[in-house]
Amino acid sequence: MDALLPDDRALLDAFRRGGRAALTRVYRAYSPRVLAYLSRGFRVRSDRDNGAARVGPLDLDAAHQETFVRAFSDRLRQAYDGVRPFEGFLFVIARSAAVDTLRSIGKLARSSVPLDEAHEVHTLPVDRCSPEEAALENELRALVATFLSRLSPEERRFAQFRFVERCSQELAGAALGLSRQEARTREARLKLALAEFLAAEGWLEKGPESTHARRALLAMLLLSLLQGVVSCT
Amino acid sequence: MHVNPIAIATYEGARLTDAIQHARACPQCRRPVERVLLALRALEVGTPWTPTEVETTAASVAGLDSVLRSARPIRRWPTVAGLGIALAAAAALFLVVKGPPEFVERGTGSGGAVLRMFCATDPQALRELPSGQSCPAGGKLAFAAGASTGAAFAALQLSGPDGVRLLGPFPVSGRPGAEAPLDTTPQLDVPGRVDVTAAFASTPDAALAALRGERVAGSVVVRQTVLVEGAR
Repeated sequence: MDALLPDDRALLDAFRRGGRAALTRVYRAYSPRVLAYLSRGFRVRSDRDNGAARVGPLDLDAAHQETFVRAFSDRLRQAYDGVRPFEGFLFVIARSAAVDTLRSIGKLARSSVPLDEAHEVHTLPVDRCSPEEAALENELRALVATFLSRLSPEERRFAQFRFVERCSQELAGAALGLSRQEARTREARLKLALAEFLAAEGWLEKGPESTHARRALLAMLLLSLLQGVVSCT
Repeated sequence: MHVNPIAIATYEGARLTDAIQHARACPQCRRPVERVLLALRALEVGTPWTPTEVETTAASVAGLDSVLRSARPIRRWPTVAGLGIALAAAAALFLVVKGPPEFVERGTGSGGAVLRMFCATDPQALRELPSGQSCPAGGKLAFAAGASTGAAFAALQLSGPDGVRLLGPFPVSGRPGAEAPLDTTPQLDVPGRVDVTAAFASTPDAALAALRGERVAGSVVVRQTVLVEGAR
């Protein structure tokens, strides 16, 4: 794990001045780590939530961007001491940005605060999922295993090289005698097939919160608005 | 236009970012799109709690411009011109704040955005609820909103005796005078006063920021009250 900022004093000075090239370099170096950190989860405490919180795929972009907007503000650029690892400094900001993002969409109580305010370098991932998350993960693993078992032997081999052995697209394709473009197409087809499989299994359908009653009420409201017949109190 | 949750499996870069941003604010798309993204993680990385390479690249690229725009180089002393602009902006703000509100036909709003509330006590009884009026406990609220161009999303907050509920952000398709329903019908369970705050802004994130009380250019915040009365 590199220590880009503390080790490069010229970069640190340019970063503190807010130089565009320095900010870009710092952003590119740390952005993937922040994304991984936000997804992995962290501990929070509030009067309602005690335990782990993590940012889902739809809110990841917002929390990640908010993290860097805060970290690159004048105040926090000056606040970084240039001695401790920048990653730990950034993760503290990321936790705070994530809690605000999750609170804004109602996934955390408004009183929630992140724990572990210390500037640690490597925060351990939360060691347990919530029961709902554990159930979701188990369900997903089973679905993916079923999906893979239904692939042709060649498709399965491609998935093995690409996703289990983590080969690049090019290497995975080469192992099967495919060109780079053919490997790219094969991977896109595989992902599409997974989504189609999930849809066929009914796994993408709406949950119980989307009730017919709500739809009916909204349809009635729409009709009333169009006809201008809603009575006032 | 809604996101096709199956097609999103093949999206990359800006196309993926746009689809995710839509799904985030779209109650209809949110769940299926999120589930496809989690499944792709399980396939590619082995766990739904680690983003894929495609997600990471898309989010990193998408965020850079906004982050750089928000970060300003240090200036030790404000220039005279800068000070002049700041004073002019402050004066303009003062004039805007002191000016009379624009006329709106129905609901409550500040000209650029209108929020109308409705009380539904059973599936067949729906009535408009001016701010401060009552709706029985057990009833549901419905909302119709309209906003001028530029405020395409609305986020709602209900603060009442049973706590704070955040709803949305929702896309706003109506205009002032031709409001359209928002896709939510929260139930009113506990008697007491419920303060309804709606923030309208150009993006889902901006609407949420305005709802949190942050200054967001072009946003409109509307406040109304509902009195929840006894049991039905």
